[in-house]
Amino acid sequence: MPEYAELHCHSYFSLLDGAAAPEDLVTQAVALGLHSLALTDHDSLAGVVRFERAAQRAGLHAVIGAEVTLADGQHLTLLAETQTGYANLCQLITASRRPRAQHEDAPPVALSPPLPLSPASTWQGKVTPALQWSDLAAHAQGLIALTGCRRGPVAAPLLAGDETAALAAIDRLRAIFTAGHLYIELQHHALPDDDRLLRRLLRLAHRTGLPIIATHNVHYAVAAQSRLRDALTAIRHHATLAQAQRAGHLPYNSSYALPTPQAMAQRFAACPAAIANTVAIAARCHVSLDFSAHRLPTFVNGQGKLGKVGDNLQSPIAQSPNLPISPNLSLSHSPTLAISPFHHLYNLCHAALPTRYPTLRPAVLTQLAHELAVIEQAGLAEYFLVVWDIVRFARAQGIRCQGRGSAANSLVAYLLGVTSIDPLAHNLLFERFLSPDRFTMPDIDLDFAADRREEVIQYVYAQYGHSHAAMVCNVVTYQARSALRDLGKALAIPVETIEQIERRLDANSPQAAADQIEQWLAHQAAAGALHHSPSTIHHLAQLLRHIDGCPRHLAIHSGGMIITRTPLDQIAPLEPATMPGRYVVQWDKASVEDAGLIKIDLLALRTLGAISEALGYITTTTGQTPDLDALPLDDPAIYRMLQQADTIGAFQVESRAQQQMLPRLKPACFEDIAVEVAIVRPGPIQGGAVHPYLRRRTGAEPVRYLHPSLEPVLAESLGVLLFQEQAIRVAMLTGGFTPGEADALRRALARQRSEREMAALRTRFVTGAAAQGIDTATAEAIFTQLASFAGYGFCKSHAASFALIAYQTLWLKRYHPAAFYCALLNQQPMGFYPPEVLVGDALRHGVATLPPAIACSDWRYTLERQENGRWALRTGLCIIADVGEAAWERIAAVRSAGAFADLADFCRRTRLPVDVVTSLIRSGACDAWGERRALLWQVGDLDYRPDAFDLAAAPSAVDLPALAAVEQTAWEYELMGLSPERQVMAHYRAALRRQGVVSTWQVKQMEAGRRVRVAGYVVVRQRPATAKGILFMSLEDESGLLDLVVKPATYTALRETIRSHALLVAEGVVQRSGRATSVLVWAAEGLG
Amino acid sequence: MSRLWPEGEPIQMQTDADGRPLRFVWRERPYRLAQIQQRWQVDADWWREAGRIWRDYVAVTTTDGLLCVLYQDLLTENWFLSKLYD
Repeated sequence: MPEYAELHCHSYFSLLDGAAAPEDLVTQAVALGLHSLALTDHDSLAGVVRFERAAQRAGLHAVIGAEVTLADGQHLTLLAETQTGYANLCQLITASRRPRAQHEDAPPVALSPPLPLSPASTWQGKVTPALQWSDLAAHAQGLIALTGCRRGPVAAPLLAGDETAALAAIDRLRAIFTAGHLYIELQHHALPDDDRLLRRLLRLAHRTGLPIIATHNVHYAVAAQSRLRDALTAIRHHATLAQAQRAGHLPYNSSYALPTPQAMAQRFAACPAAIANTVAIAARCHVSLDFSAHRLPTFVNGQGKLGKVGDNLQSPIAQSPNLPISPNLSLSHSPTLAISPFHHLYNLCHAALPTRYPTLRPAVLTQLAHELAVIEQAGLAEYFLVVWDIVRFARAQGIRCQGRGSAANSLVAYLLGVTSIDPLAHNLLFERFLSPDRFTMPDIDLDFAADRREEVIQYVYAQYGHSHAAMVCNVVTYQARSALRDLGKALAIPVETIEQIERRLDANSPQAAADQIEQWLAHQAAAGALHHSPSTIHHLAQLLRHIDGCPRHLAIHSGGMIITRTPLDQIAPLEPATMPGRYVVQWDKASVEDAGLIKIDLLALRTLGAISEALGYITTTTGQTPDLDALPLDDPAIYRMLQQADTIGAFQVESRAQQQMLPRLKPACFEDIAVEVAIVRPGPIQGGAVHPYLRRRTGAEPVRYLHPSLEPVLAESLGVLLFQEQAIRVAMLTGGFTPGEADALRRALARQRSEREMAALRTRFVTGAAAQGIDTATAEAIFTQLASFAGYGFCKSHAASFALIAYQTLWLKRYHPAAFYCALLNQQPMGFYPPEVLVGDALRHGVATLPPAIACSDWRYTLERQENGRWALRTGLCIIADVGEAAWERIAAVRSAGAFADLADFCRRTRLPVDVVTSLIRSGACDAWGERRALLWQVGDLDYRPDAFDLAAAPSAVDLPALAAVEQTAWEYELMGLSPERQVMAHYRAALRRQGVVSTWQVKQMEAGRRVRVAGYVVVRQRPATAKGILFMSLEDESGLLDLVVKPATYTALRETIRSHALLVAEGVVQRSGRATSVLVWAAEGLG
Repeated sequence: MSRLWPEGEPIQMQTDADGRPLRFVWRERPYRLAQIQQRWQVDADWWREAGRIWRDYVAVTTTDGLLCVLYQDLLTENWFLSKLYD
């Protein structure tokens, strides 16, 4: 049997060209008995980490490469032979994607110095890759070049009959690639001129003495995927399949799947050396994608000094433990002395003790010493310093920030000010974050006020340079909707049909969509309504199945950054992002982690921005700024709000699901808030933790422990396993695991396991338990509990971090509601509820909302003091449809010169377009100048002329009916999504009362089982995946929100009504669960 | 002179053990292949109602000096004459 290695192969990371996942290619390569497989995506190494891992797992030898696009559009295949070759390949791809302006006649680029920071105005963002020959020449070492496919520099001229040009290309390549590093690439796909091309290439090889190699230009793993490739190609050309074929873009046939060695041997029977060379080359290529040695950034402290690793020079001045945390804490007073990063970290932690622990306990010092020892051993001191520095910068700029996730388990993180949760007070576990024998990197996520996060990102770029810091990319894959649209277009399915399908679809993934569509086709009667040929719809379904998981494009990850010691472009290629000033590495989060690099997540949290803004308002209106991080966490008023589910606007605890849980769980202390945050998630609900916990809390079930040793660990959650930290502790205490082993067990249990793996883990646990004196039966029971828990366990420190923010937002809502709501409205979109609900909630809490008014409104919401001394919200003009910021700027500029007398004065001085003025009038912003209809009448004939101005005066003869109140409200909802002064239901209240339809507040007073009709404005619609097709809705009226529950059968009958009406009258029966109320709906109709 | 049959003229083809075409019968006349000039495979139009075109084409010269393009429909395995050059 001939041995063959495929050295030219594309995955779906050759965007909109390749059709297979790297894993699929590996699986198929093994099945076909290939010697090795290379991955050579177009100008990209996005898939290589996944590819290499899959190959390792499967025992297949992997070769890393890429097909690069040269400056004239020709293709060249490059394979990395050595680590140097790999680094060069990264730099070449980076160079090929750099903006053009730097290229023209430029000398070969030295890429290691920082990439230039182009000013935003000249930023080009994504460019078509084009590699200059000069760059190729400068970075060829360690690479093996294959002359490429039909579009290669040798084959293309040969196809056109120009042997001279082909020879010239070979000379050019030979000047760059030394002997043994350049091969003539041969391919055959049964195209009409393939025989001829092959003959010519062989002749050329003979003439030049160059060795030959056969490849198959693979674009998918199995033939069944060829249609997806066709469709992707059509999508790439923005054409239908028929158009793409006519234009010659589609592949000639479907022979680009991974070949069998026999098929290749047969194809190239005339030149067996081409086959033998594939194996010879593959055997030479060895590249490692383990960059863990390169990952730790070199710390640059606040004064721009680099701390050098390995320096153990002592600072000559003994440090006083009472030093405050100073932003420019540089402890070396002599410029020639530097202290080690670890020493720096040590000093920072100790300097923070007086602030964080005014009453110092020995336990704190013991924990600190332990954590520092572990950090030192793991070599992570610099990592902590980098994170500390970023937080320090943010705070210095007044940007609110907080660390989240497992990092909050760490005392060091708390002392550095990275997190705000005292791990000792909250019984957290450092080993969940970091342990000596841990196999994965720690994860520090930082949340920043959303509107100012960019400043932090730019700071990181400035500190470390674009060569050492980059954003992690996010692979945006096809979802049901995007796949439907793109594939529908390719198949020339009319837009109306696609929309029809979309409306009826209830699926997120393309795979699920395919299943549903196939089901409809099976029910022929329904298919008739599709108005399109069933066979085309079949094709659509098939393509949807194949496109599941396929990338659509690479985007920037929401906040992940990697910072490295080695210049980044030697580790992975960099691409400019669409946003100016940003470079993105071609790897996503998972690849970055698998490659051993550390990622720091710099995330945007709008709530932090809202908190910042609210504090700003408080400072302005009261002269004082409360310190939210110093709040005592035991205010009974806050817990009352939680227990009554009065949480609209509060972080994490405002959702419909949360509001149903709060009156049942009745949080009474801070730990309870953390439980609330952790428990209302699909995981715990599915894992069956929620009900036992609730039952024990209400006393319906006694608190039991499987073994007394578990009590200290699980007492806080009444014997129910809720937190990952608890699982680790149980494994340590009961099974005798070390911390690292315990965490590994937790993660292993959370993954899919084979029967064998499970049995092995179980045995280990039980054996360890026996050594602690625990009998087998009990140990088995504990292990079973661990195993079933593992899928949904929540990270307690993460819950605690979020609980803190929840508490802070509740505090603001309780004691500074006006500032709170104003900030929330200005930070939209955020949170669970639309502005309409926030305004209603504000009113119920004593904060009125004033309508927009040209005379006093700002662009955003502002606080206005009313006559009774209370603060109210003045609606900003930003929420009025069609009124853009440009219009606002004009109004503001003109208004400052003097107030507007009337509509005519306003129009004349601002000269705003008619549609803007119309929107302003209809929303009520011009109510001061007259009745809305009358004003509209006036503006109907608006005529701006260069020298004059004419506005038709409302003729007194015309008797315009005034706008009814309900019409006014309707216009306001249409233009602003809300009515500042009156909830829409108020207009119907009298009529509803007469018909026996009650308000949401009234329902909440009723006992369970009562039949009821209630009406309201639908503000939330949810069908969570865990709820088995049940629809949850929130109905709002003047008195508040009410939860409705619609079972699947009812939903099917009522779907049209529910989806097409904003105002509903629902009929059903009252349900109660403790103090939480909902209505189980059996009928509904639209209102109005 | 050349003639083209877009729908393809049905022929009966005889191949050797490896599937290479040897001789065929068209409109009751036999022809023997002298040489195979070119071979290629097409796979297209699978999205159309009329259906997929999946064919192995072969351009051959017959022993009586005709140059023709034949194809095998890979879905039905039937052979057809596509083009004829005198």
